[in-house]
Amino acid sequence: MNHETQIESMHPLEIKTLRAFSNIATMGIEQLEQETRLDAARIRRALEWLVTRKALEVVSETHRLFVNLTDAGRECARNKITELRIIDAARQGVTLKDLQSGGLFDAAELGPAVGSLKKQAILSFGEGGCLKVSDNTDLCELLSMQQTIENWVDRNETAFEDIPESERMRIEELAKKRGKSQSMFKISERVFRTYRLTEAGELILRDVMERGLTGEEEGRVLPEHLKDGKWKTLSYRRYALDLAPPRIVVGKRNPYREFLDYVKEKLIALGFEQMVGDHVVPEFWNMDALFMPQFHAARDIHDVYFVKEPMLADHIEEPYLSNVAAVHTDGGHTGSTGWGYTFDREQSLRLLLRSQGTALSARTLSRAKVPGKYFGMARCFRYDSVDATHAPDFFQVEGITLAPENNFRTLLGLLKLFAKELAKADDIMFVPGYFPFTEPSVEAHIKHKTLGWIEMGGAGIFRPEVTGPQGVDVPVIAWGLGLDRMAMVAMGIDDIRDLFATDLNKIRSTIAGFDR
Amino acid sequence: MPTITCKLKDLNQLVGQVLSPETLEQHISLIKGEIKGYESATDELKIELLDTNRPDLWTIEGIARQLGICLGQQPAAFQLCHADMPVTGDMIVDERLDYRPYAGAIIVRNVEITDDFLIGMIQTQEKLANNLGRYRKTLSIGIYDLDQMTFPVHYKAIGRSELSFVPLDWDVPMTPDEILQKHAKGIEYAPILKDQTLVPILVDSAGSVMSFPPIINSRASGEVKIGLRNLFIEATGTNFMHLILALNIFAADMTDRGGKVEAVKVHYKIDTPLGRDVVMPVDYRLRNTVSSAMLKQWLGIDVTLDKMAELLKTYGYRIEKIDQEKDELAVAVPIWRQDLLHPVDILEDVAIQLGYSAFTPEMPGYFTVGKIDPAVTFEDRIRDIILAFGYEEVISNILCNREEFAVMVREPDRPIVEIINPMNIKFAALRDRILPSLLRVERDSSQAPYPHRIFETGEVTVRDESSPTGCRTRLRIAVLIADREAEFSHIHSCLESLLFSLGLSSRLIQEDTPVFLPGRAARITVSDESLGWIGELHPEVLENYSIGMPSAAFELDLDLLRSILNRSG
Repeated sequence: MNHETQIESMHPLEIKTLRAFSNIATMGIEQLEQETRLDAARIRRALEWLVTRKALEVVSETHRLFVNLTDAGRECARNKITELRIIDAARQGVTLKDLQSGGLFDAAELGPAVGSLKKQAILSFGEGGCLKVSDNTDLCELLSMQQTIENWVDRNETAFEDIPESERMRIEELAKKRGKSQSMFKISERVFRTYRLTEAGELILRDVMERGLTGEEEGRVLPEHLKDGKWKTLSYRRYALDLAPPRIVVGKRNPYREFLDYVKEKLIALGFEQMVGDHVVPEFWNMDALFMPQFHAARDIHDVYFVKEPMLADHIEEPYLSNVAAVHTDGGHTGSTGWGYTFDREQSLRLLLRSQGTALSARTLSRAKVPGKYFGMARCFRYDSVDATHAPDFFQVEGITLAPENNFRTLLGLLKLFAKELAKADDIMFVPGYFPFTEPSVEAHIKHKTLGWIEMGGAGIFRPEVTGPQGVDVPVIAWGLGLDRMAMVAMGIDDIRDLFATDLNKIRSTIAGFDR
Repeated sequence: MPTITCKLKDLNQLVGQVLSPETLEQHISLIKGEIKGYESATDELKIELLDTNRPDLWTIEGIARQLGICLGQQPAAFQLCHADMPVTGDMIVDERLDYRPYAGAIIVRNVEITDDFLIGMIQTQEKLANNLGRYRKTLSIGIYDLDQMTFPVHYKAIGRSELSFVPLDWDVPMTPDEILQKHAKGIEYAPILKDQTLVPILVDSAGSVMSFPPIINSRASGEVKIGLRNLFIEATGTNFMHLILALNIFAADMTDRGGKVEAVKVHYKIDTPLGRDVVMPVDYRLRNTVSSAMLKQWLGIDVTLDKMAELLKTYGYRIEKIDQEKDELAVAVPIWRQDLLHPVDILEDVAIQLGYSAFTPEMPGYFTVGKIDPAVTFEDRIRDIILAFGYEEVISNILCNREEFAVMVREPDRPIVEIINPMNIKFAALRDRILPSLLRVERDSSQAPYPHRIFETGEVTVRDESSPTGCRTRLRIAVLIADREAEFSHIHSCLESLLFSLGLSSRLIQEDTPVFLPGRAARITVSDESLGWIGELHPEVLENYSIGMPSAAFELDLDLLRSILNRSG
């Protein structure tokens, strides 16, 4: 720090304290209190700063002892010391047991005190364990101890050397008695330092005087200063502006939600209408309506989560139940052979946690507009063990488009649009995929600018066995996007569980750095 | 989706061409496969198969066959089921096994069982029984040494302790009941036969036990070893068409391995979709027709019938008829496929054989209006308001457990929606409110500088008897302050400021609720409707979550709030 900034960054307390040294070369806190009219605590702070600045240095250091009456001592002044109270009680004729159970004595102090009185032969045990005070007992010592304590009640802290010698020993003894917490006097050592200006300090002081800084400069511009023009007569302290400000905790959008918002806004901008739905759905909408046969392996207890109670839905809306049942059995009116088995309407009712966003699309078909475009960001649940690539539950971004002119090429066109709009990817590659509910099916791989070739998602044209039962007779493109890896890149994380981070430090420091 | 393991060399021998891992990668989409790994040191190849409707592709021979066909080969399996295939075995099926009524078999002669072949065969058996047969529940397969048995073979019902035999991996005879209790396979698959007094057994004409399906083979004839030349392959199950498919796949695979398949005549005492006497393998071919007009509609390209026929032929189809006048092409799939349900299935094979890169993407031209769901629009509005108050947003997983979301918030009996088959007890229920999600955040954030002012809006699932599913998903918001100074008035300010921003105000009805400190909790009502709760967190709850800071919070139902707003506005 150079001289100039030294001066500018000085606190008013420092200036006032420093100025006091222009009259007297060496001073301690007491004297500074008189010179500056500041209280000791503030002076102490200023001195500490000035020493750190190397403007002042310590000249001498004196250690002095001070005596205070403790709370325990004040207690004794009021109620008498334990030994005297025991004697008073003994004269009433009590046993040690009475004292112990009477609640008037602290067990920790009672024992030693009785012991000490016995040792001095002031006290003895009589008949039936009764405490007996010896005749002709000299209580002088105890009484003068009591007196000393009482004398101190109105006295403030006193320097040890100011106490008459006669009292010193007794006070020392009482200070030691019964450990620190119970002692009646506290003797503490305090350090007194005197300070003087260093060479650098002299230079600073000279400058302070020359600039006419008094430490009376205003810290802040106050409304009162403005009200009556008082500011014109005031000078304001210069601030040191290079100090780090305290961090404030600010409102912050969650970075993962920010990513999800971005995807949502994009899809809205592309003309898609949002679908929402319940977490718990009957197996019917999650699977039957999607033409997954009821004997399909993906319906097992190890693939989806079933609800404990109630286990079955009340009913499935008609005519969808009958339509779907027919399509499974013999194809219904769709031109399909169906799966050729007896459809179990009870199994359709089983309640499960939505395992695929397509369940939303299936539900939407019957009320969908033509042409129409829909999307959902559905929380989905799969029977998977949770690890760096599997979150307990996750979002699937899925949707459908309905139009007479839909075909495999417009499906590829749509995926290309998603690649460009959502992932800023121009290179896209299509390979055959498989979904039980689409034919043909495709998987889209895109060249992501950070990740290289990744799978962006899958799509297909809904089988007529899916659309027919819902009364839809135009080709329906169904698509799903896997955006979690993109979100993870955007957030700079590599464990999928961190999308749902629970550590605020992590959330605060994560920035959704995706390319909008 | 099954993943199979094989030797690349073995695969190449079957294809009849040498494919490097790189060329294989180029062709793998023809079978909807993904190469999951190749070790050049061991020549081991892993392929994942995506199509759950093509079990014929879950075998090395099947993959090789489809690739070979596409590359112009004529696999031997095309010759299966010709008219003079000899019928050299017979089998009788007991009608009393009504819970597993179907059995069937084929005979294979003159195969040379090598190491790779044997491993592959066991893998095929497993993949079919697990993925098609749902872990033997609906289909299981057994393979035997043909030379250790005599025809006819009986698939019959016996009592659980009626006879005993020595199963594989065992030294002394056991009854079926003992096998189910003591043998590793018996214990594993016992649930399939649970509560059945009669169990299936396969015996040959000499009365020798061949196996106890679907559990285990006997050691006498049911042990397949390297060096065997003649096999008997049997399947049992509940789904007749799957049984036919599995045996046809085996027949095709064995033929491609150089074996000679002979038929078994199976006699049922009940009616099957193919009658009471069925000769297996069955010449069962799914047929369908497709037109160029339909292809144009679905795929968006022009392809003539002749071109379509050519493409399908080179994908393994049999072309049965081309009718130019009616614009109709009649085709059949080979006996190892049963995935032809609708003409669209044929269209996809045309597209695959053409290659997806042959299709030019076309931007859809129609116009539609984008729309956010009104509930989500409202949720976003609320989020914006709270964010502007300086609160930090979190987003949580919503699977939870009773311990964290009921017991630890001092409401052990809260009626939440639970999962009957959780994989992990930590994720065994759906959250029915958001507040505990915020407590989770607090539990993990003691190192983050205070004050903590956090919130989450999102979905919860609450029990609701009036819903057909017994529950409903609703939108909620929870807001929490954790700080040395946190207290009721601070969170109350937040609540009132939120409602003020919406032109509303609340009336608090002081009422204790377990999660909050008694006397510092209230029910939030707006327009006399209960919307949620507000209060200072009960110290016991904070202690349960190891949270060391006083906290205050509120939670509101956003769906209700929105309906009040709609009514008042």
